Amino acid sequence: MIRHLFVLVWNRKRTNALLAAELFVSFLVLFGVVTTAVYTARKWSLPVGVVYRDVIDVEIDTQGERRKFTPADSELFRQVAAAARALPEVEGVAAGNPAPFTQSSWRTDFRLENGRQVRYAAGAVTDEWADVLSLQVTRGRFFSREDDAAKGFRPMVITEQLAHEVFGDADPIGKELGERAPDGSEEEPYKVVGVLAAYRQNGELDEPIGYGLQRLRWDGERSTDHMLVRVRPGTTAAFEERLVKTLQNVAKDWAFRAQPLSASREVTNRLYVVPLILLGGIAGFFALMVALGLIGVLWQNVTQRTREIGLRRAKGAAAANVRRQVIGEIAAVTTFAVGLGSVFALQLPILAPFDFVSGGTYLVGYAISVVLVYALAFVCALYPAHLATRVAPAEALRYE
Amino acid sequence: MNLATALKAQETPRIVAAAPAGPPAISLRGVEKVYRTDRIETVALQSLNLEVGSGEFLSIMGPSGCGKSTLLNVMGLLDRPSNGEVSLGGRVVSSYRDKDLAALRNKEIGFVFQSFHLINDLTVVDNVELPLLYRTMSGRERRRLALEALDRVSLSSRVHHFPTQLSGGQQQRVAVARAIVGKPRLLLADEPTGNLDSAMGDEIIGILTELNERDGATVVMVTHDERQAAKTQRIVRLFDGRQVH
Ligand SMILES: Nc1ncnc2c1ncn2[C@@H]1O[C@H](COP(=O)(O)OP(=O)(O)O)[C@@H](O)[C@H]1O
Ligand SMILES: [Mg+2]
Repeated sequence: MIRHLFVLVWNRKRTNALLAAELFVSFLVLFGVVTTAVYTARKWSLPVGVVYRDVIDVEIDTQGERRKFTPADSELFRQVAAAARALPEVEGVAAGNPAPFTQSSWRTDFRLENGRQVRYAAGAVTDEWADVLSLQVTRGRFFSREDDAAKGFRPMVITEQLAHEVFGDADPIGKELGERAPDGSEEEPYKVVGVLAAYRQNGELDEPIGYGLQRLRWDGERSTDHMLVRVRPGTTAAFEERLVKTLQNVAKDWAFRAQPLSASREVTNRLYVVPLILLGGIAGFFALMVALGLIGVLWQNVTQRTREIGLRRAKGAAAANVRRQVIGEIAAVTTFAVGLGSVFALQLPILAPFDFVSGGTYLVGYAISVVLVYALAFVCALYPAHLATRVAPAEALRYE
Repeated sequence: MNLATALKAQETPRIVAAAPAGPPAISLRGVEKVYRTDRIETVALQSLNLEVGSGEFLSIMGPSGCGKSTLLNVMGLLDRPSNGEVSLGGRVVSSYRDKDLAALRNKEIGFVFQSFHLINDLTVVDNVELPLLYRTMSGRERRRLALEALDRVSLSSRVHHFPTQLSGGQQQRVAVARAIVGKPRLLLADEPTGNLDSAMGDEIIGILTELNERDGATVVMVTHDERQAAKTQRIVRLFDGRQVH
């Protein structure tokens, strides 16, 4: 019977080509959408490593030169932080860049000795960053005063993911990270002093990329424009205004803007989710169009084939056999479409055009799309198949 | 082979009077068929009583529109009568469910139609295999039986042709092969030679006769051709949905 279905569908290439093309395109669209959804779901399920509740992000515009603080700016910045720390609601203050959920990111590439390219996101933060964001240190330690004495290297704290990508199963603590300048060393190398369970700057929907934190000193000349303030649980929104006023009193020429991380998180997540919803909506609309088209073509097929259906009935096909015939044929056409689509779809895990999407994600997306496209074809065939079972054989076979 | 059997068929006595032992192949009792469309009501068959003996070769004759095809469809379980009782091999099948009727059509009945009704997108052998698709058997067995049936109609050299590459007579032989591939006991042919010239028609009648005589198949054939009807054992004449004698 399966051979019969495929032979019939193949011999009716011309009629079925349109159907196959439609299913082929549907399959590729489904594959794209489903893989995106799988990728998003995977990201969502990964640990974030950052506790954003009860943390206020203060954005500071020092109106000065970017990147560098003058000694006076640096002094003023410390006074601003001290003023914040002095407020009774405040539990901790840290400074750094980029702040969580700011959508700005800073990516670095380097090549391992084995030639593999490693890409990670980086930030520069003060020692308090770990406490303010409740970061979980799994190995080594976070930055502290003892790093003031560091000689010949710059301390770095990386995520377990980055540690694994760079050092594999070896202990990363004390190891250098990154490429040494080939001409000797003008800059001191980074050395890993601690490892974090996870650190995903932009939260659940952020690309699951490795992260490396560099140490920012309150008394250094490297500038920053974000301060994170951890407040007591239950602190109300009115506090933000008071905080800004307090800071403004310390630095009259600077501009401050305060927003809870939970609010930034919502904005950021929306930026990730809205395109997904749009994509899903367009895909759904597309699927509906395809479905209506399929039903129409199959319906027409059935009405054009009443004689053949009558003949099958005369030769012993029960209504159920006729139903299976119609559904089986579209399943066979779908198999051709999926077969062709697979040639394209399965290139992705091999070519891996996006280094942050794993091969497994494509395969899961592929498997789900295969099931979905068969389900789509099946559902669309139900009504035409039902019509086919209603063909009265004696009438269909009448000699005109 | 066909010519020989055709000649032989002409020599056989025309009338077989005594009904054979065992239940009749088909028995119709008080069969009526009424077609109701929006306004018109067509009585296609009325109070028809007919028995076809097992192993009989019967012709049905009558003017166009008198109900011959309707009668054949009722006999072949393709259509249900509006009234009356249909028995096949002694079983009253009037109340059978669709699925059981389909199974009976598949195993016990072979149809041949005036316009062949081959599937043009399938090769000759795939067409012949069609009835066997509705039985559980291996593809190899199906193929074997189909080739055997094609051999019976002398078309072994055309198995991989498509129907449109064959002459009308050859196409009807394919249809006969398809009708006999499942080794049914009853063959129903609705004007099987109606679209063929007389030489091709005789060939088909020869094959049907051979199936009747050699294989003991019961054959019921609708025909307009007195000459062909004369070769069969009994003639039933219809007029306006009634049997006239
Ligand atoms: N499906 C149908 N609907 C309405 N009338 C029909 C139908 N089938 C047959 N008839 C009518 O029933 C009568 C008998 O038809 P049919 O059995 O095909 O005649 P024959 O085969 O002897 O030419 C005709 O008057 C025909 O028009
Ligand atoms: Mg007729």
